Amino acid sequence: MKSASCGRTKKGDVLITVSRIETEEVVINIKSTVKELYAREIERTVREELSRAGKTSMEITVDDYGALDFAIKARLITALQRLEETGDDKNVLA
Amino acid sequence: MFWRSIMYVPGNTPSMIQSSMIYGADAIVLDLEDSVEESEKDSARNLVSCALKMLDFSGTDVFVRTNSVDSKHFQRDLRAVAGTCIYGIRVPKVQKAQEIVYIDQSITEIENELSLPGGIIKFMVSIESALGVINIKEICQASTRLIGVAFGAEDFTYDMGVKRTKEGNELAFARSTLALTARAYGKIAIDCVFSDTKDPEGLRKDCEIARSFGMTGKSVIHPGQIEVVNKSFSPSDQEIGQARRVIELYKKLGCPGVFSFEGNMVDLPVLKKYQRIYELYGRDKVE
Repeated sequence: MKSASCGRTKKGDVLITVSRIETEEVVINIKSTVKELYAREIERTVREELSRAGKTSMEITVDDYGALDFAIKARLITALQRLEETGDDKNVLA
Repeated sequence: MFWRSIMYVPGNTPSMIQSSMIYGADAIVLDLEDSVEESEKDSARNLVSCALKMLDFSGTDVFVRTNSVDSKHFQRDLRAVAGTCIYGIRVPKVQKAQEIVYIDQSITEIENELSLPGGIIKFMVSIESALGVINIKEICQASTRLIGVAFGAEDFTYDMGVKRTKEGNELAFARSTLALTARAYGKIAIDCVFSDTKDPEGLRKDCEIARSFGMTGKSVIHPGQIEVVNKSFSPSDQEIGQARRVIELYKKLGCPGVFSFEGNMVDLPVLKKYQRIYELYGRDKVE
């Protein structure tokens, strides 16, 4: 299974890794320095962007270091674009 | 349109982008070029695009430095930021008027595609080579959308094969030429960065030199440089007070063609200099 990622493990940033999975579901794993406070918001941001991009059957790993919404969204967009460029995104509805 | 300090902000660092508007720079430049490594151009482009759409930059004018027109990134950079809150783009390493025409056409195409008001996206260019300096007159005349030229000293001295010094003698001709030509064609002229972020006195001296050539502002690379640059490119309190008194006297005397102020003759060109200071800095305190 190929995956793609974007971002950095630095304060204010987030490393997002995306992979295509066989089942039609979205699995989101969140590791965050502010998980207790913001896990729900991070998940909402990720789901919104996936929905906007029409992506299903994805596993998303979020390694967050206090990133704001704009950074989470941007890193996810780039990771999805990079996955698409690997050619392993064929079963994803886009 | 009056920018004393224009601060570069690396385009792939969220923490710097999200705080960039709080330091008091007159404008910021979110950078997609030199501060971003080649493998991260895509992520920086998306980061800057999302920041422009989701963060509040009110209070500072925002430019985006795209990659150069001969790079594969230029069109993508432009498309990522068109239609956002940017004042304009800043295009690096421009050398010829044909590049200005190409930039203008590219922006026009995107404005039409996005149904944006024609001419809403402005641009500045950076002149960073001997050829760019030589061609500055044609560059300034090539587009009404072009609002200014900025000078890039590091690439310029590399191109010239000379060492860059704090005294800056090696930059004198280029700075003077850019400022003079920009002024002649109604463009602003932004001076190069001062690389030593721990030498405020050196920065202040460098600002004085740039200002003496006619540069209207200066690029900065660190928030700590903003105050020095803003102060250097502003008139002193004494100059503002003098301008205010001259304008008050001018009005009191019934707006004469020539008059005397504290023993000195004030005619039209002198009056204009005071009026410029008054309009920019003194008006609020008088009325």
